[in-house]
Amino acid sequence: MSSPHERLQHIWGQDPGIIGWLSAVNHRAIGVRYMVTAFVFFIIGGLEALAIRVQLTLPGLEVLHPDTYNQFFTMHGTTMMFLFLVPFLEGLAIYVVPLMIGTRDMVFPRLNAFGYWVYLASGVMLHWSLITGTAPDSGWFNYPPLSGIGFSPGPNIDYWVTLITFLEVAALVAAAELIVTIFLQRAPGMSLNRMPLFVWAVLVMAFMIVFAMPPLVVASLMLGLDRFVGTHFFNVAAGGDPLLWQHLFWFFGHPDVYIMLAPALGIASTIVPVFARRPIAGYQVLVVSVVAIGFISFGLWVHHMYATGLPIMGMNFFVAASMMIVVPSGVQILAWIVTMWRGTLVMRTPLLYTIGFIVLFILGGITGLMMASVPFDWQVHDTYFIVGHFHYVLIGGVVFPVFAAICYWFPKITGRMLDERLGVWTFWGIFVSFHITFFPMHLLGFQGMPRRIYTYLPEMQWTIVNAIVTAGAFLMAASVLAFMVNVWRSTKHGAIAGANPWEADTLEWATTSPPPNYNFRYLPVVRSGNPLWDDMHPLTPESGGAPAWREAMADAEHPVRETIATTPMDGTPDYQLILPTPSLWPFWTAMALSIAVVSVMVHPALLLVGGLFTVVGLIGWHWPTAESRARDALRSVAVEQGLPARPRGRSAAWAGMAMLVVIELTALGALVGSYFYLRMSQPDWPPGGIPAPDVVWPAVASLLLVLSAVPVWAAEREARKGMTPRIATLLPMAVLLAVGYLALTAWTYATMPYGATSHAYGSMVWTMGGMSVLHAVAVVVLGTVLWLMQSTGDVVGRRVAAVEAIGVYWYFVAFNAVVTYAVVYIAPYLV
Amino acid sequence: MNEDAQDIGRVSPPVPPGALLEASARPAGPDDEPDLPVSGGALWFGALGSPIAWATQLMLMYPLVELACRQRSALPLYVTSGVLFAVAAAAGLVSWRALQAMRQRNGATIPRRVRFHARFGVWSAVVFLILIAVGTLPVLFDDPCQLPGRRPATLIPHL
Repeated sequence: MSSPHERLQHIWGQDPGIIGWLSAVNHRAIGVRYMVTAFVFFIIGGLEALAIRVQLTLPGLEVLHPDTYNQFFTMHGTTMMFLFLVPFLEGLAIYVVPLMIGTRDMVFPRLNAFGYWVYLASGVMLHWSLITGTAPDSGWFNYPPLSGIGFSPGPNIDYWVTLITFLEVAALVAAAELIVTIFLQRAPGMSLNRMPLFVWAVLVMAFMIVFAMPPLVVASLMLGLDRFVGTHFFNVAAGGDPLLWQHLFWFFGHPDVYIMLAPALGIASTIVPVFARRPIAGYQVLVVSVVAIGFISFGLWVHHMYATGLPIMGMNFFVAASMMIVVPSGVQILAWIVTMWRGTLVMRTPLLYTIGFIVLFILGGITGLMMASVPFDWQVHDTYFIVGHFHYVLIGGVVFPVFAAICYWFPKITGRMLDERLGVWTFWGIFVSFHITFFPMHLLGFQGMPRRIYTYLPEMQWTIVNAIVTAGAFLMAASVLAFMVNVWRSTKHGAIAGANPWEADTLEWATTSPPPNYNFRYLPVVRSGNPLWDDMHPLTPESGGAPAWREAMADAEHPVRETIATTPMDGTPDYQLILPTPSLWPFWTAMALSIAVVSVMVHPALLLVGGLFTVVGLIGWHWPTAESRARDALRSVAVEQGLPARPRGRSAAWAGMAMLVVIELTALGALVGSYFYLRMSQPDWPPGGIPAPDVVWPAVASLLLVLSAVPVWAAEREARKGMTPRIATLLPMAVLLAVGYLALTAWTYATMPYGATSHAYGSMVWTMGGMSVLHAVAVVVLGTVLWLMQSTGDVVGRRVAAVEAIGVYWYFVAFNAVVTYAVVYIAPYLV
Repeated sequence: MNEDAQDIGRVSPPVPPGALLEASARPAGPDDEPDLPVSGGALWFGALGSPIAWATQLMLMYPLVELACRQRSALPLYVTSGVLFAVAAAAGLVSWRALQAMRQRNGATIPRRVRFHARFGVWSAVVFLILIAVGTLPVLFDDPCQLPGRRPATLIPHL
């Protein structure tokens, strides 16, 4: 008979070969893939930066063609922001968080894999455009009207609009999954007040992604419609407003900086106490400050728009918020300094990078504070001062912590230590070259050098400083190369790390390096915020009294991927969570979606093909199999061992769907906000020649959709009771009512006297109506599939969670229809 | 790989089992908040009330500037700030009173997480009350109609 370790390794492992590799869902495999892929994009983005620097080294150079130069600086920003920093940090979180909270995998492993494939596909396609010379070229924030069809008629911007939106799907699914995992899968005893600061920071990051990214998706949708369909969201001549783009973009863009900074703060708060050999000072205040930073970061977006002519008072609200964010940021720095001051420092590479981060973060923060002031911002707006500032923030404030994290968790990931001497030399190389590269940029800005210029005249007297900057950039590239050599060599030849080489306090160091497929044989139990230092509470047979379920999970008595779900606040055991097995469907679905996305650039027919394959993928992904039915049969075993097979409250599936609803609500909020923004800039609404909308038939249609939620609610109740026959009646009833909504809405829009291309008003009305219709189509498909599934006998008894999850989405869709009705049909009479 | 190495129980010395069962083997159920002096809803209001009040202030004040300019009155801005300041203060007060009530019970039956939750609300209220107050300062000093490069009291062109 095999040992528990062998059984667990087999259960939590993946199949060999290419199919097995493509089917992998383990969080560590996905996390490493994210990090490696993101680092490759970092190298590509760095090479783009070097090309830009070469072009600017001396006046009058023509190393790059001007068009290529535009593409390079756009792709450099886009790559670093969208393809390197956020995905790397999400990958790190995907790898580390489950280990840190003491669980075996993330709550939706297949969704995790799907997110990675979407990320990879969008990154590859975006860079394909660079190879073909059609890469985006309007800057990473892609302002209209420059990015509109009039000034950018080629496919360049199409790549940006479609692929960045696609990429955000990956970011959003990872964020949703991290949130649900952190709330539902923490080790028994890990109440919120014992949660590691890195996990808090990741939680804040994930929530920020959920609220920040949907507005960019909405903005990209509008820009895409302006370009492909001829709508007028950003066309002033037809009632649109380019500033709407800036508002939506920066509502995402500014929090995006803090989306990257939050986990960086968590990395520092993890590393500092470990190398100071004492618990962090001010744990509670650090938690409050990182949450406060997350909130306040959403109140700063207008400080990117000081030069657009907004009212002084409106701008000053944002001046206040921009200045006040230094308070929680300062609290973080103070806590790290106090921890180091009171501790006994062990100067190893991770701590060096962390101290480097603290220094650079302060410097970048000071220049940021300067730019929070409107008059100063007007002086340096669009100059190299800004470029210098944000590189201090992004490289100093995020890339340094990323390097710290690599050095810190490398032993856990590979089982080997990095070469310390090379690590120290590399750190100093990067630190010094960083200053040589980016500090002089502030001076160039003061001397009036605008950002994004292709070249300059010798008379401008910027030559020497530019030459120094370029030299620094190459020195920095060499240092990063040395860092990569260290990583590469140490992966194979580094000293063996052992389980806890840093003598750290968090749970990821309680298992071997690298961890086994299942992370922990005995699921850990904690009673402290520093479990490995002062409170490791194993429930082994020797210590006595382990609950039966824990023994069963440790001995892998059942051939399923089982772990424990705990309650969100206190981390008390709740129910047995059985996670899905590896599957090729996430890969299939991501590739099918990619085909649909490239249809915009290649051929419209691909939309149909990709869409069809996507539907097939989604059904295949969720359709019950013999293996999944066999898994269900084992749930009763957990009950016998004293652990419920289902939650007392809502299921993980419900929580995941609730996250999707939050994302969609944010997108809906962005759409509604855009409607009123355009309305407030117009004296007449609807504009002259367009009659006020008819309110009766759309009201009937919306009512039908609201009514359709009632049988869904009843079906949910019946599913909990196990009443199959009633569900078989209720679900078709709901679907029919939703179809009624669709038919009536289609008729309403078909008889409208204006279209989406008539005026910005028409663009808004048709887009909001179209989104509502798309959502209704989604619930019709979901309801039908669920009905078919229950007819196989799989819903009741096993898929209560599926009914619950579809239910919460259905209620949102009904709410969406009501809001759309109120805005499109009622608001014109009121506002 | 050494099988024993996977057993984290052997990384550190075992401890008395009674203490462990307290944390790990409680009956499954919703988060237990035994006889707390404050409800879970109040704790959440205390923790998130003030940041949400600040966010609401910012989101409302920004579009209200135009209304204030049209009406030649900053009253809507003062009212908004005042109401939301009161909401944030109420959130802080709820958390503060919860902490006080817990202290009176000497903390014997109060989980640390609940104290953490209440303290979070107090700190959060301090931060966001300051933010709301600072965010109101422009109303005191600026003209809602003033555009960049123009003197105060200049009307927004299309109004």
